[in-house]
Amino acid sequence: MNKVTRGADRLLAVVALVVWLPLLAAAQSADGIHTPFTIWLLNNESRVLELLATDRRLLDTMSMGNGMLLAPRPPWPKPENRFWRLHLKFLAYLTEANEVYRLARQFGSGELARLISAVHPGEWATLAFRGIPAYRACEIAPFLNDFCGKAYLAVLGLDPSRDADLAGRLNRATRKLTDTERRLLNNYFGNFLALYPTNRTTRRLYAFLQTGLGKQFVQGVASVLTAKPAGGGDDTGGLLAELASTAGEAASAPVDPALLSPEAIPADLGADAGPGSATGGQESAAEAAEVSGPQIDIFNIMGPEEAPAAKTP
Amino acid sequence: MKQGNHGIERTWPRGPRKRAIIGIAAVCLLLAGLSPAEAIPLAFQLRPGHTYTFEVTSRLTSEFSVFENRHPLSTAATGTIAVKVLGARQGVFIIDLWEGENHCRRFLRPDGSVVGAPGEEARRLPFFWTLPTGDWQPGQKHRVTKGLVNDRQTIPATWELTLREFDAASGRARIEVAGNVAIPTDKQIQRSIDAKGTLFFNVREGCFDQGEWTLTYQLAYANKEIAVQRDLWKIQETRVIGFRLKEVTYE
Repeated sequence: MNKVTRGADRLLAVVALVVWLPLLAAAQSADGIHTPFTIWLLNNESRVLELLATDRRLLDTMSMGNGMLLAPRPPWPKPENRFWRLHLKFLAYLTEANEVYRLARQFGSGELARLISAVHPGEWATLAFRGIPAYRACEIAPFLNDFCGKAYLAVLGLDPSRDADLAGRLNRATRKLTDTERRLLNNYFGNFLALYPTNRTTRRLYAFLQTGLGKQFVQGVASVLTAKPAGGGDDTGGLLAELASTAGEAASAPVDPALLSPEAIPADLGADAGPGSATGGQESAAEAAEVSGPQIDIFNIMGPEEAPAAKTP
Repeated sequence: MKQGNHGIERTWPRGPRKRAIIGIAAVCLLLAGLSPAEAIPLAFQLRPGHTYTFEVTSRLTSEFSVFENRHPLSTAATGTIAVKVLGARQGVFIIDLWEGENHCRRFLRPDGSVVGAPGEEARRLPFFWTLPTGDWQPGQKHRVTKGLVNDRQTIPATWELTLREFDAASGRARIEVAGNVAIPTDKQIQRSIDAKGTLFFNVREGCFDQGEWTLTYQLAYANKEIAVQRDLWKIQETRVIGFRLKEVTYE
C-alpha cells in the first residue's frame, strides 16, 4: 500500500511540475527584476529624444536669419548616440543578469533535480506498450528518459551548454562592460534608488549585481541539467513492476504544497546570502519596511508618470 | 581812448573773458560731436540680373555629459551659395538660391522679410530678421518677434537688431544681433536657446555682406520624485554660423 501511495504522489508531483514550471518560466521571461529600472531608463531616453528633436528643429529655425541665404545643414553630430548605444549594452547586461537570477531562483534549490532523479518518464511510457516483451521495454525506457529530460529542459528554457555554469554566464556578461561603464551603471542605480527607495525589486537586482551568485545556487541549477533518473537502467525492471502495481490505483493523494510554492525558493540568491545570511536579513527588513505607494503603470513610456511600479514582478 | 570809424574801437576780449568764450565754444563743439549721427535708411536694394555669391560657414560643437562622463563632438562645414536676382516686381525681389544642387526660390521684400518661398515648407522656413522701415538711428534697437510652431505649441522667438555704427566711407553699417527662443522650462527640464552676433549691411551692394552669430543651446535634464531631485543628463550645443559676400557678378 505504501508503494502505491508513493507512486501516486510522484505521478501528481510530476504532472503538476510539468504544467506549472513552464507556465511560470513563460510568465517571468516577459517581466523581471530589471524591468522597473530599464523602463525608467528607457522612459528618460524617450523624453530626452523628444526634447532634442523638437529643440534642434528650433535651432535650425534660428540658424539662418538672413532671408537671402540658406541655412547650412551638415549632418550635425549627436554625441548622445554614444550613450544610447551604451544603454543598449546595459539593457543586454541586465536582461542576462535577470535571466541568471530567474534560473537560479527557480532551479537553484536543487528540488527539481531531486524530482527529476525520482521520475522515470520512459518507464511510464513503456507501460502502455502492450505486447512488447518486458526486456524490450527495459531497452527503450532509458532512451525515452533521456528524450523526455532534454525536452523538459528545453521547455523550461534551460540550455546545458549555457546554463551549466550560471556564475560563469553572469561573469561573461559583466566582463562585457568596462570599469567606466560599470561605474556609470552604478550611478544610474544610485539615482534610481534615491528617487524610488522603496522599489525592492531594483534594490534586489542591484544587490545581486554587487554580490554575484552564490555557489549553492549554481550547483543547484547544474544538478538540474545533469539529473538522471535514479538507478538508471539497472533498476528499470523493479520500477516498472512498482509502477505496474500502482497503475490501477486512484491518484488521490495531495501534493506537498511546500514543494511547489515560491516560498520554497530562496528569496535572495547573492553570494553571501544563503538562508539566514546577513544580506538576506537586510533584504527582509527592507521589504518589511516598504510602504505601499501608488500603483503606476511602468509600461507607460511616454505618460506623465515615470515612476516605475513598486510591485515586484 | 582810441577812436575808429564810428568813434569806438572794437577789441577782442582778453584775460578771463577770452578763456570763458573759448571754453563755451569747445563745449559746443563737443556737444555737436556727441549729438546723434545722421539717421540711415537701410533696405535691400538688389540688382536684377546680378548674382550674389556668398560663402557660408558653420561650426558646431555638441557635448553630452552624464555624471563625470563627457562626450564632445564637433563638425564644420563650408558652402557656397549663389543668389541670382531674377527680377523685382511691386517692391518684391524674386531671387533664386543655389547651393550645389539644392535650389529654392524666394520673394524678398526690401526689409528682408520673405513673403513667399515656393518649394519650401512654410513651417520649416527659418525665422528671418527684418530691417526697420525708415530711418534707423545708431543705438536704436529693432525687435522682430515670431511664434515658432512646434509640434504641440507655439513658442515665442525674438530677434533684436541694434545699429551700432555706420561707416560712410565704406558704406557699411555694423549691426549687433541677439536672438532668443522662450522654450518652456521647469525645475527638472531646463533648456535655453540664445543667439548673439554681428552683421554688416552694405548699402552700396544693397544687402548684408558679412555676418557671424553664435547659437547656444543648453538642456539640463533631471528626475524628481516627491522631494528628491537628481540630475541626469546635460547637453550643450553651440553653432557658429557665418557668411561673407564673395562677389557680385552680372550675367
